[in-house]
Amino acid sequence: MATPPDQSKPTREYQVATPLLSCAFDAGGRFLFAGGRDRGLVIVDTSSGTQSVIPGHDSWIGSIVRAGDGLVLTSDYQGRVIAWDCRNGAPQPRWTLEAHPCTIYALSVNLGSGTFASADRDGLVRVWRTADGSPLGELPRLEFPAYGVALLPDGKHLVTADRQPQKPRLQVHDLASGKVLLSVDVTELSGYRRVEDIEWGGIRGLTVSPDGSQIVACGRNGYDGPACALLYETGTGRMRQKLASDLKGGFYYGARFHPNGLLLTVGGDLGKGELRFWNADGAESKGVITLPGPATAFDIHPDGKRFAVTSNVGKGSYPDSGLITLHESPV
Amino acid sequence: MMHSQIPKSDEYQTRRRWLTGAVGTVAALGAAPLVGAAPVQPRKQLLLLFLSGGASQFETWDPKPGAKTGGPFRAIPTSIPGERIGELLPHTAKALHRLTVVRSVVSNIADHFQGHYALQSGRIAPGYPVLGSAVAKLLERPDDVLPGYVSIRRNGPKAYTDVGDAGFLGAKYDGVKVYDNLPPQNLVRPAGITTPLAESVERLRRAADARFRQRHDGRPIESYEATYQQAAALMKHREIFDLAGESSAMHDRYGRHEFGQHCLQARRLLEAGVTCVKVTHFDWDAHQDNFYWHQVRCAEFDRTFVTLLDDLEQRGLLEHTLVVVTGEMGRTPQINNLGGRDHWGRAWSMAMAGAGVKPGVIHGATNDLGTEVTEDPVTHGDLFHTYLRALGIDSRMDYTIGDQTNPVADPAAKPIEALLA
Repeated sequence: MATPPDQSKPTREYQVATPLLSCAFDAGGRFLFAGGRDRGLVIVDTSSGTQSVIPGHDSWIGSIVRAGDGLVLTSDYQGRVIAWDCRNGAPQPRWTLEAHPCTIYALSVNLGSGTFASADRDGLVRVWRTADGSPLGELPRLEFPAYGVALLPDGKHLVTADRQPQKPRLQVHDLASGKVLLSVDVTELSGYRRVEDIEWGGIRGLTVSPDGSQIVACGRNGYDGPACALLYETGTGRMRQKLASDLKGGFYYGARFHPNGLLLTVGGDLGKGELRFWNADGAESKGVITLPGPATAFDIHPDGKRFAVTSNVGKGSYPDSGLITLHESPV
Repeated sequence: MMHSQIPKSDEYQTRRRWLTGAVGTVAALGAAPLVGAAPVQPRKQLLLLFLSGGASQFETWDPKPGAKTGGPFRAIPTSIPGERIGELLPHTAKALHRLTVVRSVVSNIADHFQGHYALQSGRIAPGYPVLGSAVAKLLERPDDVLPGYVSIRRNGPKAYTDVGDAGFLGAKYDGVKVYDNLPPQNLVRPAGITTPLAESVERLRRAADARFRQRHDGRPIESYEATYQQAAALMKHREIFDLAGESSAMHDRYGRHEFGQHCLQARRLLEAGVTCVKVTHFDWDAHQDNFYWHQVRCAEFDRTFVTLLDDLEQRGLLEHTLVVVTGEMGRTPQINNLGGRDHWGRAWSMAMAGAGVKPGVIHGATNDLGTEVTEDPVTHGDLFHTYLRALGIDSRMDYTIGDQTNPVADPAAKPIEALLA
């Protein structure tokens, strides 16, 4: 570890007028894409340090992922996906796809197979060819909204996180047959309160390990928290570890495995956020970077030496603006 | 005793059609006539669709696309040129010319319990009857058989849904609650109780009542007796609750979800002659994931609402039925950390249709962010006056009960003349 995580300082900060929900670097690492509660897509040119906003979406931008072939995919609450080509200077749209009739909650890319998956509010999960956005198929509709989706590295399986009340659910699907091979109720991340009859929790982030053997479900442990991530074995559905934040309340919104084996989680509540480093099996916190507001997303630069975090700032319980921080990786 | 006359001119115009419809209805239900045989004036009726928890005005009647407060959804054109509403209401958008929309409600109440009471009673001060109870009383006829007010709701845990009652009008006008479209329970004599035994119990009950009256004020007993009789009257017409008699296509049109089926039940109750029906549509209180919840709730509401209007119109009911769509409050312009909108009473929206109101009117306006009303502010008291006037009731008159008089509606408020037909 080059620098203890809690001593890492941001190398650059960018203010954004609206709260942010997602971010990703392009494959070359020059551009950082960020989006959130606005139609404009924020582009940070890390080589020049400039920030710009480009049009293309008609609604909030909820998910951004780095894809192969020099593309970054962005999706919005109207069901649109845009593939941005970054190989020739400034990002340009290569194709635009009206992929779903409603809000897309999540995207996932499989670099090996050249495919990506999209998941929507109606529980529809579709798989596409990344190069041209052509459809490859869709799963039988889930019974509940699909909050998360992750293609496994083998190119044959896909994991979904749905919004089943009181029992948010992870499911492993066989892409060829569409069958559900494994279903796990993640009751630890439910925040249901009978007095209001409202489910306050749910799976807010989903990722799989580089070898596909582990699934990480992010959210909050119960109604009162803390922010929490749960590690499951993909093959058996057995929960291996619970990673709980020191922060009271708030959610973990995302997790990512670092190339060196550490697991990183981001989350928080308004006025307090964090990016935390865990050892590979999640048993031990190795350090934390605190942030001024809830960290909603992050991405590790392709060189593995930097990362970017989006967080939100505001008063009371209302985020009013976003903040992008670029860090030199302490790991 | 009422001190004011109810306007009649428009009612006479629709009398023939109404009577024809009523006869047809009774025949269709296979039931005995539900009103007396003497000629009756066609009575105004009220259908209150209560969006419990508080719907977001941004995602429904007053969208602000592109504004920081606007949320992720678009505004779509409507059947009124130049007017747009939220894209989550595509069916309603095509029917907007039939509606009266108020975009300038200023209730300043951000609490479920207070809001439920105030938006139904037109008051803040406690003890006044809610709209269904008031109208049941004000439009009551001596030969009424069915209860004047029936409230349909889910048998769920939302405590604030039951806030408000008949107040000083007494339990007779509290209304009959129907849970999950089931007829009132526990009124059918259990199989093991013989007729002689049941008659004995009834004689005993009456004797106890008579003895109570000798020493105490008998009004509570009379009220409870009335409530019992109302429920029993509904039970004599159990066929009203038999939705199996509706075609499969009709079930589909209304939607097979809870709200759709409750609205179908509401139409049957109106058709059978109940004066006021309230249907509660639950779960609009979207403190988190507001945009997910509004997609779900609006999808239920949108098609069902337009189906209901169509159905009421085709059956000749809409011209004498005022349909009110409101909740207890709106939702905050600001979007919270969980993607939710919270409670907001400073600038929000509601809608009406049918009897007594001008169709195709959009009343009032809010600023670009939807944070404040900029034109024609309307209070919950004003709305209450307007509902009564639309139903042909002089909202300035008083209730006289015993030696006490009380204004029917808040004297500090007034009807919204621009909305009245």
